[in-house]
Amino acid sequence: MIGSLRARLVLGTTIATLIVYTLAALLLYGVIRLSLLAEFDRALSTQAHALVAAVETGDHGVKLDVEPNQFGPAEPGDGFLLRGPDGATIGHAGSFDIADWPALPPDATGHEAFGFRRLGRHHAVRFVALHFVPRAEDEDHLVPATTSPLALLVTRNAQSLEDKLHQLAWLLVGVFGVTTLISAAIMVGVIRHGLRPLGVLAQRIAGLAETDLATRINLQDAPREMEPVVQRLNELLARLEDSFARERSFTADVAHELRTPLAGLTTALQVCASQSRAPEEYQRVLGQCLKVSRSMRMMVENLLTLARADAHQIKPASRLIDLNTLLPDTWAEFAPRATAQGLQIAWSLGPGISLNTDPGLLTVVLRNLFDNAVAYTNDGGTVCIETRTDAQAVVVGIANTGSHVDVQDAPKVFDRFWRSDAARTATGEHCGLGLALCQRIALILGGTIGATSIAGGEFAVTLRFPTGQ
Amino acid sequence: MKVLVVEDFDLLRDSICQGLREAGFAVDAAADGQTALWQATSSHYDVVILDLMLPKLDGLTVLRQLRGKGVSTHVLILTAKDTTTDRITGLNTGADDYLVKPFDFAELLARVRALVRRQYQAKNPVLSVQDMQIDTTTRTVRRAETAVDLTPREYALLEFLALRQGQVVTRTDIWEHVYEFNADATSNVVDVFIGHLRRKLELPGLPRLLHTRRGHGYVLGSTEEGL
Repeated sequence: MIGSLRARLVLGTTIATLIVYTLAALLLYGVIRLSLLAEFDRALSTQAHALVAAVETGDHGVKLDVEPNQFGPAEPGDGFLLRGPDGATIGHAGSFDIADWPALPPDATGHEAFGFRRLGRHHAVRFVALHFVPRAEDEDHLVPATTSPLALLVTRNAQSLEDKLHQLAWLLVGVFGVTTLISAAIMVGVIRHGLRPLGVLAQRIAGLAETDLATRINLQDAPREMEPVVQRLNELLARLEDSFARERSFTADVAHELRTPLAGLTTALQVCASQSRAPEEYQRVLGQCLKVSRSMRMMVENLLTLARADAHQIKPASRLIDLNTLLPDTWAEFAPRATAQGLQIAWSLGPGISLNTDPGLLTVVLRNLFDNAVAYTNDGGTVCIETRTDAQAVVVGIANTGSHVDVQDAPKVFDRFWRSDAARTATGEHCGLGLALCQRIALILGGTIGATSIAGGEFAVTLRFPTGQ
Repeated sequence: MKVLVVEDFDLLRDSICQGLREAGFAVDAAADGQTALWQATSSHYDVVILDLMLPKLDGLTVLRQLRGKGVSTHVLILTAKDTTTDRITGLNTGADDYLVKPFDFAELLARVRALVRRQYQAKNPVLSVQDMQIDTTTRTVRRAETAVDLTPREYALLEFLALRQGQVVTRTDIWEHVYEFNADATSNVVDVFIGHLRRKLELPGLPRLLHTRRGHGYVLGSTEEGL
């Protein structure tokens, strides 16, 4: 789930800003804290060393030589504690409870250990602990009387330091928090502005109506990153427009081809029924209507087959068919009409020509070709039907005299609803779907179909089925 | 009334022609655009019924050329093209009416009659000539409350004269409008039918309705006696 691009960008940049600012604030806080502590510790250390300097050891033990108020407590928590090697207190100052303080770590002499302690609820105390060997009282005694180190703890109220650090922390949180909010607000604005072309583009696209497919998205309206998308979209629109236009003209043609014979049937029947007539008159009208309804049925079937072929719903079977049987069998249906028109039929069947194909579909093709041949051959003309094989293919040719089609129009005969003007007068009987269907089926059967024509001369359709496969 | 039917589908053209003839119209037919254009310009029709998808010359071109030549005959487009755009184009090209296939023949007939009435600025389908009423919808004629029984030809002739009542109508006019283009009628036939019509219209005690103007033609319902 991608969600809103703008929300993602705002959220992402805000989180990134927050992380960067937090790191910067932490770093800044750490550096300042370290430097403040170092300063504080230096003072503490100096005080500890002053105490160390005040401790002397002599024949009569350890002696602490300080002014009573030199290390006296100025604030709660200020003070010191000096212990001997045996843990006995040698001297102390300040009001803190000794029991609260842990035993000093048995550290190496001279090392200072710093730390914090809380004193009650309101005071933080900084301490330094160290071990040292006190200097001898008399400088003449080169050997110190006591060699065991003493432990010294010096404490000092550090509440003001703590307060300072707290203030610093809040200041940083405040400053960076506000900065983060401001930059987030700026980001929202910047991103909204940056994404505006996308919104404009989306509006343009939303404004595209299916009724107006001629509209294209102007490339100047789109950001460069979107150009490929816009280009694809325009191409898609062009293809859609094209196919809608084809669809519309196809639908208009279908409507015309079905409506005209339907109007003919209705009118013929209405006029006929408007008054009583002689039986022969009824027979004549009914005969005409029957003829029209038969050709309408053929047309509807052709349309359906074409629609199925277009939807890839036709799965051709494959059987070995003897063409020299199939062609005469299919022709038998058309022979009476041909005889009635006085047509000559010239058969030229090559010996033993068979083909692996779908007999049902091939019959549909042959019936359409025969139907055309009978319908368009001039009275007393000739229809030639031949089968042969050449190096690459099995060939079926059907030709007739008295062509209505001009030489240059020959390839158009396979367009849906294309008819020569001369053939148009036969509206309702031949609607220009037959050859389109033949071409579609020939392709499904793995073959090809072609036509040649000389107006007033020969019109020939050739089916070729490659033998290689 | 004379109608030209332009349609390339044989069954439809023949049926319309038959239906119109039985309704008392004189009908000529054309199966392609070129023939239609030639017929419509060379003869005078009251109405042309025009298909759009035609061989040789499409219907809209025929219509455009007719209007371009100043032919003002009422044209009814009869087509399978049914979109609003098609209708608008048809009417804007100069058609007077538009009917989509398939249609009811009775509706086609009613529309053709309406166009004929419009031709003579008579909106009322009942034409009155003095004490005679002609109902063009039911094609019945009454004179002084008495029904007059007429054959389709006689009725057509009477309606033609009634639409021009008070005007002198020549034999040629009658011959052209009431009889078909290729019928072998001569103007003598007109005189014969006028005779039949006059006999049926004259009733004892009522004034004459149909007058002969020697050398000119005929007048229905003229009041200017003695001319």
